[in-house]
Amino acid sequence: MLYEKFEKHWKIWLWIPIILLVLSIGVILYNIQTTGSFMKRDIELMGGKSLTFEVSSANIEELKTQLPYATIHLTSGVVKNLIIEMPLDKDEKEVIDIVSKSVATNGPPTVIEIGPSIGAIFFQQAQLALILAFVFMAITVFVLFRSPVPSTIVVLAAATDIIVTVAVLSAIGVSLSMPVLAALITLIGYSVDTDLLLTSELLRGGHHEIRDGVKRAMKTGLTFTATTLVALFAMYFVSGSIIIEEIALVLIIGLIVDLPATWMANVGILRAWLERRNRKRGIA
Amino acid sequence: MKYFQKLLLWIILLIIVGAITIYFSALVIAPFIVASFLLLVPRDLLKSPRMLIWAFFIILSVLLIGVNLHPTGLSVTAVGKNSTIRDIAVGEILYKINDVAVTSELMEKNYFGTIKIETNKGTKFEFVNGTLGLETDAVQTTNLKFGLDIKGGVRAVLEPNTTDNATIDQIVSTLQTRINVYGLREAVFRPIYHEGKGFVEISIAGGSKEELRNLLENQGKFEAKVTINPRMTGGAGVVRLSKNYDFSVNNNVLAIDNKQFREGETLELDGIQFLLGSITSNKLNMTATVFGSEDIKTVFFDPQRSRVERLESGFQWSFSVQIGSSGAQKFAWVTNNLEVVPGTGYLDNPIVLYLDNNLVDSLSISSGLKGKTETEISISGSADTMELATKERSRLQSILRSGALPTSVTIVQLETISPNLGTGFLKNAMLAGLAAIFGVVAVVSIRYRKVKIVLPMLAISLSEVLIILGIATVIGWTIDLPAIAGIIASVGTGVDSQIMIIDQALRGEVKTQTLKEKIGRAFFVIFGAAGTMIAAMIPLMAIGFGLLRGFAITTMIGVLVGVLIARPAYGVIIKRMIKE
Repeated sequence: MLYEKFEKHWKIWLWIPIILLVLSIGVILYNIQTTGSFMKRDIELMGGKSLTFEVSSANIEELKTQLPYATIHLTSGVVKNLIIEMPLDKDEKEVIDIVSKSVATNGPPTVIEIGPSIGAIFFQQAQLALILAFVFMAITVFVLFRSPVPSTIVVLAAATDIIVTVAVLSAIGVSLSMPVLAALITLIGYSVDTDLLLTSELLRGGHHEIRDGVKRAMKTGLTFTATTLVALFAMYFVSGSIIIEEIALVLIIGLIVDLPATWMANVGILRAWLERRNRKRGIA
Repeated sequence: MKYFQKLLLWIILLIIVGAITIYFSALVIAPFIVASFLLLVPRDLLKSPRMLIWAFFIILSVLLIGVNLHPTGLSVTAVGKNSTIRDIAVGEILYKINDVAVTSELMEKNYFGTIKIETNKGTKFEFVNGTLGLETDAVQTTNLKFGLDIKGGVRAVLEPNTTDNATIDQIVSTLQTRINVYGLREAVFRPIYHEGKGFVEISIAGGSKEELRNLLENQGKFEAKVTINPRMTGGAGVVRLSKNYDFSVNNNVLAIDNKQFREGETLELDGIQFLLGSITSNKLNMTATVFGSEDIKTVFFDPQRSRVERLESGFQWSFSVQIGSSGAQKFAWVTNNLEVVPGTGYLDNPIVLYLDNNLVDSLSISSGLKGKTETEISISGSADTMELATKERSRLQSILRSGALPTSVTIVQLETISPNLGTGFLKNAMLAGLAAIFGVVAVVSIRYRKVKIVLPMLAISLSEVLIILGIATVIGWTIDLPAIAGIIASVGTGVDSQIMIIDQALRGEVKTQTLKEKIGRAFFVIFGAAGTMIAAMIPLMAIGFGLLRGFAITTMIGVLVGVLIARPAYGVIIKRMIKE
């Protein structure tokens, strides 16, 4: 019933992903204007220092006033990670002193120092990997369907997903780090899953009505998204590791954005194309 | 057995597995998967080749991972520079010292005299005067290797202050020599190239920042020594240097150059240091220091003077060294006292190389060099393969350079990973894994409401993790954070694929398609999903620095395991259930 209501207005729904995409491209262009990169970069890709402590609890606000030059983050989990990032010229011993005075830490911290030159190289490679991953994915999709229009639509939907996800991440203050990059690339692989499912159902499912095919694909596709989301939420709240937490967060946002990208954009455009094609085939 | 009984069994199993997983090791899970698989799967399914392949891989993985629930002993991670123990190597497992089971406290104690040590290589007797000087770690409970982020340690990226990529190998070789000579903790080196520029990544598992600095700064004192054996007739003989030094021996006391020396004392003649070894009735044993660090002017690395050539069998390596004139003079005088061994083309004593008074190598001296003042000498040797020859050459080059790095280096990335963080993480990761599994099971149960669909799915997903870990032990892959993330990503794709198979198999209304066609179409989407995931990971694998590369490779292995091994088996199970 809910589905019938949703299905009836598919042409209107199509506008939602389009608007999201336009807004997101705006956000990314603004990022490039102001910071020179499509997303704010983490110290891993910029150069800097980071300290990771194992703690059971910490008062972040208090630490923030004591360490004005640092970015402070506390993960979830039973055993939590307290992450303090700062510029290379700051003394880590001083920070360790301050932290150990106000927080009960478990053992010495993990210290990461990254020079600015290697940070820049990492960033260059990261961008290259992201672009190539997308291109390779697109080639695979074209080979799979051997039909240019549906393939292009799938690739467009995946692109919408990645672009909107990047914009949402930068809007909520997540900066680009190695784990975030890894998650974005995984998302390139993940986000096409639902699109492949939908397209194969509509092109080869043997349905008389397009709406039956969409309904069937949606049932399966939403189960995909639900299981993956549940697993990701579990990891986000329990892992206590900044790396797993960041990966989970990116994929959660990505999978939510994938909903309009697949079930509004991909469905809408593919339907319009199929209906036009079917009309052409009809008897006059 | 009724299904709810099986479900009950599963829940009990899952709780036991969960509890054990958190408190011991994740891999104990393996036998339970096999057991529950055998309990749940009807016999006739086992006749399908796809099922057999799947079961085969599970059993193989369990064997490969090799769970050892009650590890005994301590494994040696480093043999200290000052250790008197000669016969125990890194990686050996110690069981007992003087018939008492080893503990870390026992390792710290002082021992004097000969002690009995039982290891996995047999019983050994070693002479010890003080501490053992061995670094040890607990024996692993499995064959899996855990990465730095889990075990703790340091990882650094070095940037050489030169654009010459040949020096990257030289840096690695020099650092490796230092580790061997000084008995430092074992390190893993990986050269990284980016746009024509080289870097060296060093990982020292269980090491500290100080150990890394020690490794980078430890520059030794090089010495090359030659032993001479001047003959005596009637208690007198001659040492030929700048002039002939006549000597005589009386009551084991050597009289030379108007001075007297006993065994073990040092003397200096013509600016050359000699250590007086044994004095016998017909000859002396004197060891001369012919070269020190200051005598080695240049070690050549250019292709003309540093080569590896193919021989009829094996490979010959060679390189030239520029010696200062005073060093060359010392060498000429000392070798004048050696004899040519007939038929070999070499002198009767070799030149022995030392770094910080540790013997590191010895080389035969060509008879043509006897008494010659040669300022450019060539050092050569042979090895079975090109790689070994190159390695051997680099090792000797770095020894002659006093273990000095060929260029100064800058640490551009430094990570010190606290071991506490790692164990805490491993516990959290297991908890997160369990939570994720229960979440997925909950969603799938709500959607399908059939135990016989949910349980195989769970078993298949867990088996995928197991097989990935099994493959990791075969290829010597290290389980670190990126690898865990990769496993999660691939198992996630796997669950999606299983849902796809169920939905396609269960659909009733499209009468025009047979079950085989429907499952076939499910596999189109599954292969498509796997293909796009692998395609996206390829550039990351090719370009990526450490972290991302591991992630990409694990994900690709995981996706392949899913598509090639786990999914076909699941297809068989589902087909059978639909038929029922």
